[in-house]
Amino acid sequence: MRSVLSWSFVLLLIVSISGCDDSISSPSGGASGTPTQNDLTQGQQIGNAVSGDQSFYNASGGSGFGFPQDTSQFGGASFTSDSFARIDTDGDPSEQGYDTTWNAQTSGQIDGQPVNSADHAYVVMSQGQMAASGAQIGDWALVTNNETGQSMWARVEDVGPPGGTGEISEACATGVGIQFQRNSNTVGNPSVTVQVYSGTKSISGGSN
Amino acid sequence: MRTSLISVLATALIANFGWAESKLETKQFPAPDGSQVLEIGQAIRVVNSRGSPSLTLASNLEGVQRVDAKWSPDSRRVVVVISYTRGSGVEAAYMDGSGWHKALQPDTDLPTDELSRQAAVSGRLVSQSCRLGDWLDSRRIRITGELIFSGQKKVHYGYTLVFTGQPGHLDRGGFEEGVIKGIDYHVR
Repeated sequence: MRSVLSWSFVLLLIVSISGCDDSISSPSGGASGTPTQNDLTQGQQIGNAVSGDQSFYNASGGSGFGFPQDTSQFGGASFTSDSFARIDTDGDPSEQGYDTTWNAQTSGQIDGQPVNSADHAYVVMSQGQMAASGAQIGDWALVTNNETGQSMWARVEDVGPPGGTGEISEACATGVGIQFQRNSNTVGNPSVTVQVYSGTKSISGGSN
Repeated sequence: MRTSLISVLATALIANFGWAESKLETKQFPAPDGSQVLEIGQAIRVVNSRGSPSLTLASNLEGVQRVDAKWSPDSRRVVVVISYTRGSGVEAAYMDGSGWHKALQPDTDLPTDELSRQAAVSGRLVSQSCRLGDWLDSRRIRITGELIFSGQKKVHYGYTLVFTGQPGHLDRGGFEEGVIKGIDYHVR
């Protein structure tokens, strides 16, 4: 009986640790240096989905939110940042255990569920940035890869720490041509410009 | 003895207020003098004793995990910490001769690099949280917080939030910036 209890406790401990945001497990091949082919698989799959080849990924449209149907109401950007790109894998269950900063939840939700970073192009703002610019979760943002000029529409769907800029979802990164490893490190030091348009959350998105 | 105990509990209730996401109903938090109420529900508002809104601090709390608020002893200021899963922000409402105003502590106030240097940690800041401490007087309140860097390195910090009395500039969100400022940041 005592043995069963001990094993139950150990099992519970393992499950707790593996489900914890503080997990520091790091699968092989994802730590640093030159990414292996496996490391880049996920990004390539999303890229295929975005470009219309759905043989690797789901058929939900890849970038998730599409693009705003009517940008004439947007006016000027209420928040703009220009910085190195960082990948937020939150909401993507497949990243658990790979990205040490991973969170199951995102601040925004779709149908009561976290916004999956792999499926939806989203950007991260801090509470202070949102308050100062009048932006809210769900507002549209235009993300541009400063090296290639590729851009993509995304929505504000996660809230990060003060001062954070350039944090974008996996789907958004792939959509603007940024490669990353499974541990969320980008390949090289790509930079992005993020322009957020406050008061636009109610404008619906069209398909790519 | 019983009266004293009730008084202590009532004082603690008035001085500290926390709202968590699971509590969906609107909570009302009165100023010590009862002239105003901080209302936290779908939005965060200051309303007067007749129930009319004096000021809206936040109109949308989607994704918010917790709201902490404390009225100053003189009932002329209220500081609010709005917390999400990975980050929080400090806002305040204050009254002067012309009525109620709202102020924001800008991100640039937080000396992340200096705190990480003091704590001898490096890496990317992945999350931050903070909580309200005690009022030192009606213009200064202590705040404590935690920074978590990549690799799960944690830095606990503290500072004093001050109502500077200086005029601020209005940002696009309608907040005055420069009216509240953090000073004496230190690693705890």
